[in-house]
Amino acid sequence: MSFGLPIALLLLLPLTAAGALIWRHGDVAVAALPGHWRRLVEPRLRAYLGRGIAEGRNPQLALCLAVLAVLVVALSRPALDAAQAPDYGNLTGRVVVLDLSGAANVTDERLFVQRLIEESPEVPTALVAVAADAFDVVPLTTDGSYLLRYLQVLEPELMPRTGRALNLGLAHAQSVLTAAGIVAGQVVLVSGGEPPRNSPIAPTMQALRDIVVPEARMPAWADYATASGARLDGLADVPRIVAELNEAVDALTRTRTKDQRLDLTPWLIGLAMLLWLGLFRRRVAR
Amino acid sequence: MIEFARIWAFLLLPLPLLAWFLLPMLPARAAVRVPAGVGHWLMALSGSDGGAFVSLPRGLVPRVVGWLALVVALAGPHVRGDALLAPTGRDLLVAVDLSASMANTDMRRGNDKVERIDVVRDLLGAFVADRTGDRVGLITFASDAYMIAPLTFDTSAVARMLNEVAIGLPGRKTDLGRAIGLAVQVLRKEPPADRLLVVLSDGETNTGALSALDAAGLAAETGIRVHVVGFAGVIEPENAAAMRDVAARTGGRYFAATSPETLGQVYAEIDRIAPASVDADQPHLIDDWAWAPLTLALGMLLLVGWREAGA
Repeated sequence: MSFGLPIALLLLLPLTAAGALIWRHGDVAVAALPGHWRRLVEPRLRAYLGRGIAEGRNPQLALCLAVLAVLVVALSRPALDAAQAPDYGNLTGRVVVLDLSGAANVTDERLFVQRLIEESPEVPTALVAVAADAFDVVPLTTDGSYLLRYLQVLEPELMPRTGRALNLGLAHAQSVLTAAGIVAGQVVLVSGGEPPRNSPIAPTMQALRDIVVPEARMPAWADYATASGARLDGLADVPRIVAELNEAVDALTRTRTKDQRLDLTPWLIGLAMLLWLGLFRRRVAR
Repeated sequence: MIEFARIWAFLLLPLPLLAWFLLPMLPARAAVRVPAGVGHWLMALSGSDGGAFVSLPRGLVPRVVGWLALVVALAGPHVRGDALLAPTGRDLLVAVDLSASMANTDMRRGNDKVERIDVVRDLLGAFVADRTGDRVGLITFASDAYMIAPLTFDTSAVARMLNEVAIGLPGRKTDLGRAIGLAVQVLRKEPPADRLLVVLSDGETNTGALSALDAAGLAAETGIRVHVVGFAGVIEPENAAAMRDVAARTGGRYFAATSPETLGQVYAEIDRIAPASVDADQPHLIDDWAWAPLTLALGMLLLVGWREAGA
């Protein structure tokens, strides 16, 4: 079982306290006469004029507390999880942008990408190469061997023009995700060189962005990463990058898809409604 | 736009009226003792018959508003988000002949003569791009065969890559057996699925060590159906027979297309016998708004509780 909005369960704490207060206070208050009678009858006389005081606690109050508990649990959106996660073709995707501007040796960067592919084989991954321009190398695919085959041959010498337009690479990666309709996407820019001099582009879609550089160069890249809305990672941060996308996908499937799990919220609302009907019972004084 | 998942929930709106009349009454929690004469006098003033005073519950408004909110919450208000791609469970490889003869200008687009490959780029590109929910890959072949696009749900990317292929890159001759062999190699390592290979060729196999028929046998063993599309201004009967045999060996079909129009019809027919996802059933991400009426109901409930407590 999982909760789409587990934080709502925290409401149970203050509500329990409030309920307890009302329950205690209600016992006393019922002793008073209801409504306007309280203004009409002298407080000293209420104990003599009022009756029905000792009939126990108000059942409507107990009902209120029960409905309260059910509603709070319903707000937390509990669901019974399916054994298998949703398998939508465009749920997730990662575009790796490899900087081939010749600013540094790409061997370490290729190794990083290889580890990234190997540690999340289920995530469709695309390869984009960037120098003076950005090029699709491999479209989004889970065919790891195909990806690695192309990764191994990527060299700066293959690029038709020299130059360094990393912004173009980021924009191109985002367009790849958009064209494929990916709903939980991640763009990973891998570079071994210095940060570019031109100002970065602001993110234009909700894809996660990571900029991966050798650990020694991270301080120099901090401003560029911040300005482009990206998280800065080192070449050893593969697990962190994998986890970042996995968490985004988990959050999506837990709260925004319905097909692969049994949402208990409507059932709890139904129960709350059934109890709520009890609040419409009439009172009779004979 | 707000939509409701369970619109029938609004039928429950009048239920409180039934509860009002059908549920047993609660005894009053408090009353006032008065001398008997005064009591009758009060009864007379109130117009009652003296049997009982039936009162509305205190806090009726929050009760009603809370009920309305619960009905709305049960109806499942939500906003549709991005469309999700439900897989068809089919792996579709498209193999395109890029031998020299595909540059023949025996096709017409209006009054203009065009190369076969141009027609293929247009029609096959549109066919591939529309295969929503299939994992599609692209093979080009001539003397050799190459995987140009790996299996992907991004069909638009495959269509783009098809647009970029050039005649002669894989050689000048035609080796259909090699193309089918590569497809077998690719699909064999993938998880079980409905495996389909659509081959487009304009002529006879004139090179290669593995015959097309033997390769078709391997495909059949791997569970791959091969549909073969013969595409040329004139298809020689012996070439057509060979391609028909290849398709038949795998349980697939042979289609002859001698013009852009008939090629379009062929792809429409393949779409019919192996349909892509149906748009009407396409799932979406959901932005659930039930929390809003639920929170309102919670607030109303606190008010009711407060009033019931007589505070």
